[in-house]
Amino acid sequence: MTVNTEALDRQVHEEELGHDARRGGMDPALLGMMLFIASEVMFFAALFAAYFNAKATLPVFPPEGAEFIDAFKFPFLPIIMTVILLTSSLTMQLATMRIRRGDRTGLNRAVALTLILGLAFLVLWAWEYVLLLTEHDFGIDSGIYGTLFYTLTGFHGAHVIGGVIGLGVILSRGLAGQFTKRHHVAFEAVHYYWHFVDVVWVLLFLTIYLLK
Amino acid sequence: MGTAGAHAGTYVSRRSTLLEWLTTTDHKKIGVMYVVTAFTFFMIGGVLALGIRTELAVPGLQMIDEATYNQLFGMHAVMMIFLFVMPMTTGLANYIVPLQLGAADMSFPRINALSFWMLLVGAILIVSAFAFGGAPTGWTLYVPLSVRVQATGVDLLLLGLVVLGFSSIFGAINFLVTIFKMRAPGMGLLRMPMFTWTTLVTAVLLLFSLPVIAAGLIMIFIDRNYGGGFFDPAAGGSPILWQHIFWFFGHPEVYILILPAFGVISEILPVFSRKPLFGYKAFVIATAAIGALGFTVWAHHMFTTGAVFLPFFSFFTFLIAVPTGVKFFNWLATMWGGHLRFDTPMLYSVGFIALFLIGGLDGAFLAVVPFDFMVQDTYWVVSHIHYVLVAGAVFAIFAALFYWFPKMAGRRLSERLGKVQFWILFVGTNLAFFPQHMLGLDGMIRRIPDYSGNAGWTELNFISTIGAFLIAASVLPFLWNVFVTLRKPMEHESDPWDGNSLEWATTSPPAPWNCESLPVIRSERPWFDQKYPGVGHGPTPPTRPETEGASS
Amino acid sequence: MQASGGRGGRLARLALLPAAGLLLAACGVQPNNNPTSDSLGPSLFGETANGIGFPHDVVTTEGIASAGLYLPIFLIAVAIFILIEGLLLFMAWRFRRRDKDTGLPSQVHGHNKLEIIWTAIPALVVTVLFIGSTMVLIDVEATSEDPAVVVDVEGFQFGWTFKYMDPAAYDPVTDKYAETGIVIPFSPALPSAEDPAPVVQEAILPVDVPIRFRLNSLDVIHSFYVPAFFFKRDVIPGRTNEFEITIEQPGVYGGQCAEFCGLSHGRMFFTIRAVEQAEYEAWVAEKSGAAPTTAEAETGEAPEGDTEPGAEDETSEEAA
Ligand code: HEA
Ligand code: HEA
Ligand code: CUA
Ligand SMILES: [Cu+2]
Repeated sequence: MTVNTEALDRQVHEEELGHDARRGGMDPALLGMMLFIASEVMFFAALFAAYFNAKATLPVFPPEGAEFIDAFKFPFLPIIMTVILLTSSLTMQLATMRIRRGDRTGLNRAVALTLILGLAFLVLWAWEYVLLLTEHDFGIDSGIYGTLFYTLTGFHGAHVIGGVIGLGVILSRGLAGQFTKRHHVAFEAVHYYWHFVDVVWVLLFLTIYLLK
Repeated sequence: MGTAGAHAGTYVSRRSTLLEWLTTTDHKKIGVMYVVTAFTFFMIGGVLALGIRTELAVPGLQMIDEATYNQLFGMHAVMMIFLFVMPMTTGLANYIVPLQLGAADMSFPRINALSFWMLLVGAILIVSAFAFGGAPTGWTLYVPLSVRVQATGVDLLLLGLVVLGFSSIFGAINFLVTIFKMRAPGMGLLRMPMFTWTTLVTAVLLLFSLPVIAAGLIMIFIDRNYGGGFFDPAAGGSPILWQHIFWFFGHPEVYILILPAFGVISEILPVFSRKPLFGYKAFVIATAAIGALGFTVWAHHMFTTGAVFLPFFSFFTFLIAVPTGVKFFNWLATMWGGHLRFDTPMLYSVGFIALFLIGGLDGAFLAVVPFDFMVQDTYWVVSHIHYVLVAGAVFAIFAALFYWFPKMAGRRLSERLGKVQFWILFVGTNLAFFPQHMLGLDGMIRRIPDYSGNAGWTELNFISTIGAFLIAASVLPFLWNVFVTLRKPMEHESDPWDGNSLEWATTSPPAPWNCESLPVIRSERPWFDQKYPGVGHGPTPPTRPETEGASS
Repeated sequence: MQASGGRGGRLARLALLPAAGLLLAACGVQPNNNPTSDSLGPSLFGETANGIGFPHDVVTTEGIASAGLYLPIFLIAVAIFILIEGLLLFMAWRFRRRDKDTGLPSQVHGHNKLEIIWTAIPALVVTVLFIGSTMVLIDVEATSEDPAVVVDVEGFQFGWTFKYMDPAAYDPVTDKYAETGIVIPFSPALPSAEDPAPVVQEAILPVDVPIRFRLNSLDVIHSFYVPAFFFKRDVIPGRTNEFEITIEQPGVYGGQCAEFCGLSHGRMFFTIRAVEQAEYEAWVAEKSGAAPTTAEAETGEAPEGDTEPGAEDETSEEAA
């Protein structure tokens, strides 16, 4: 098929010209991931801007009718979630150290652990939503506070889902033995992404649950 | 390495099948699909503009009612900006940038294809808004109006724009990685052609502004459909917040539309003057400065809200005139003392300088806050928009199409038809948009379907409408030109304009792998240096290519 | 309408200059000016329509200061325009490629000194423009301690309510002035079969005293725009926008909503009639006497609907 030969030609040609691989520096896929994360930062920046705008302009915040979601009240969900995500960042870092040493089994274990922690976070995330919706009658339409709360945590949760899917992919590839000490770009990409999701959560935790 | 010239004409292209087009990941095919899609929407958006102008030709509501009119200008703008100019410059960059870099393709060919197909999905969503109550909000989608409008069309528009946004974010990442990672050996950042440079800065602007508007659009969507309160003052939200979000994107957006145009002009002027670009580094710095300043001026669209610190935004808005001025004067200096050849691409480039200037000066007026109080939301602004976008972006796009058509299609467009088209468009543009200055000064506001016969605006509006139809008429020779030219056999002229940059060093059209070998790259005009040894930047080329690292 | 003679008139004519050719071309084009009377279809405007046919004058102190900026900027723009278009034309003629031009022209890559010059000069020009315009801006934005007249303007889809407030009775807690009961409503009055020439409401205002407008919206964003004031300010829900003007010339000045606000945005008119102060006071007195809803004369705090006959010594008069 033409497509294949074209691709092959291109590859051979690139080898000749010394593109990509031989240029040194960051791998293109990783650079792409960094740029994507940069754009994600702007996305969350806009959401945070909305939050701080409301906080700065309203006489009382949260406005009357909505109660501040306190992290220090039973069942301490936000705090548990924070601990879980921070731990998952550590396990992800562990995975990186393992593969950089060429320890594939260690990589797979650490990734699996991260994946489980990610799933646990998602469960708690859903649980918190259920609690708020049913027991506190606090929904996305409960004024600006509800809208901000659900949009910010919702988009963060969606990103965790994305990260968990990414973890699943690299776990299966890791189990298939596709990563080596030298070649594990896909893993590195997910690794960056997971840390990013984590950092966003820490900021969320600080602004939404702590800063009154 | 042999000279690239030796390969000219060795690759004979074969007509691709439809399936090959649909499944392609070749940056050139994707580029062509972008260009064709974009031009289609130029014509649709233009027909909407003709609707606007016909209704405004004389006082009274002749053709359409208020409700219909209110959909026209927003849809017109959305199509022209998001479905015409942006895809057009993306398409051109898709085709040209890898060639100029001496690369075989984009860094992520499949993501490149994905971007294009997402564009189509977004376009379909936006067009379908027409069928679902339309989107009578203007392209600025100001809240609370756009939250309150009861029409599914608005939701479709929002979704379509979000999809387009992500298509462009992926595109921007692709361009950035390609530019950083796929430059041919020897091509340092400061040896890249200007069009590639403007594509780079544009991609940065896209990357940082689009996510913000995506978030904003989603907020409107939440307010509309899930009872959110982002923009509802009764719920504690803020209508002004949307304007900040929109213009934080919106102003960089206008430079996203114009920077590639600046790049095109900076490619064409040197070639047709047979001189190097005057002050290459100044161009690079000015481009970066415009990009950076573009993020500091958004609230000049909000001078009349009474909610922003006016002097700050006024100051930075003024400041943008400086790097733009540097470009202008360096363009003029590029032409100075050259051997100017007025083929159609050059004609359009000079026309661009002549008329974009008016739009730029209009902009400088608008930066004068007390004057903006008078003309904000009047036809003065409409005039500004169209001098920078029609006389600016559209002229540059036609310049680019005439300039690169021979590369893409292997044959030149007819010069005679091209010149006819240029002069009709030139006259039409001025007739359509110059009188709008006077209308604006006289207090005719925008986005109204009708005006009083007693206002004394009838003549000026009528002239403007005639101009609009001339613009439309100028498109016909172009369509005919493309049609006729494509029926002629290929000439396979690899370098019809005696060009400077690497895209002219390969066959026309280029082989799927782009080029067999590359000249030595010692300046931003590697192909020129090779053709005129001892004249340009580089000394007589050595036989072995330099290794990377000596540059950038 | 006013004869065009003020600064605004000059302003519009100046802009016309470069377009003289265009206008000549337009001679002889006389489209129908009176669309209601024939088959062109319905018009949104009657012949006695609200606030259109904007006067060319600029009639407020602030507006005159702002409009005064136009001429200097225009001249600078014309100078830049002539310089650049002149160079283009000159080069197109002087440097066009001739048959003898077979070689390459000298390959100049740049010239640092020149480039610095044409960075510095525009930088200087825009700095001057910035300083000049900001000084005017500060004057335009300035508000007085005690305005003579306070008008609360409420915008809504698709009309306006002008509420005359009592300038002496300001409540800092609610950030509101007390109502006087004088209310002028504007709604898109269309000429219809029953009412071919609907009564045109007018908001009467005195000349030569500072008038404070306080803008509020009941629904979406509108914009308060009077071309003769050379000014507009957005009318935003959940926010009070204030500004002050002093009208210098008696006359009728049309205003219109300038921010797109939905279906009938193009018909959101209002009309202001500026009159001598004595006439204004008489009007207020008449209004207060006739209006069933008049505010307490003394306190100015009486709620709407509180009828008080002899409330003729209106507080706003006293302040004026
Ligand atoms: C390609 C698109 C494009 C470009 C390039 C620009 C360029 C500029 N624009 Fe424009 N603008 C728009 C598209 C664009 N704009 C659109 C679409 C809107 C309306 C949106 C809407 O409401 O729907 C708008 C609206 C708009 C406003 C808001 C108007 C209002 O609603 O009240 C303002 C206000 O400051 C402004 C200013 C400027 C300025 C100062 C520049 C400058 O970048 C121009 C700089 C160029 C020059 C000045 C000429 C060359 C310079 C020299 C020769 C040097 C010497 C010059 C001097 C010393 C002055 N623009
Ligand atoms: C890239 C951007 C772009 C482009 C290219 C154009 C192109 C044109 N625009 Fe547009 N315009 C905007 C961006 C653009 N515009 C924006 C951002 C707004 C503000 C919207 C808002 O308020 O929200 C606006 C608003 C706007 C208005 C103000 C509407 C209002 O406020 O009520 C008007 C009125 O004259 C107008 C006119 C035109 C005309 C006549 C053209 C012409 O140049 C179009 C010419 C093209 C064609 C005509 C199509 C091709 C021709 C054929 C296919 C030939 C065959 C067809 C026939 C002869 C029927 N535009
Ligand atoms: Cu109210 Cu436009
Ligand atoms: Cu802008």
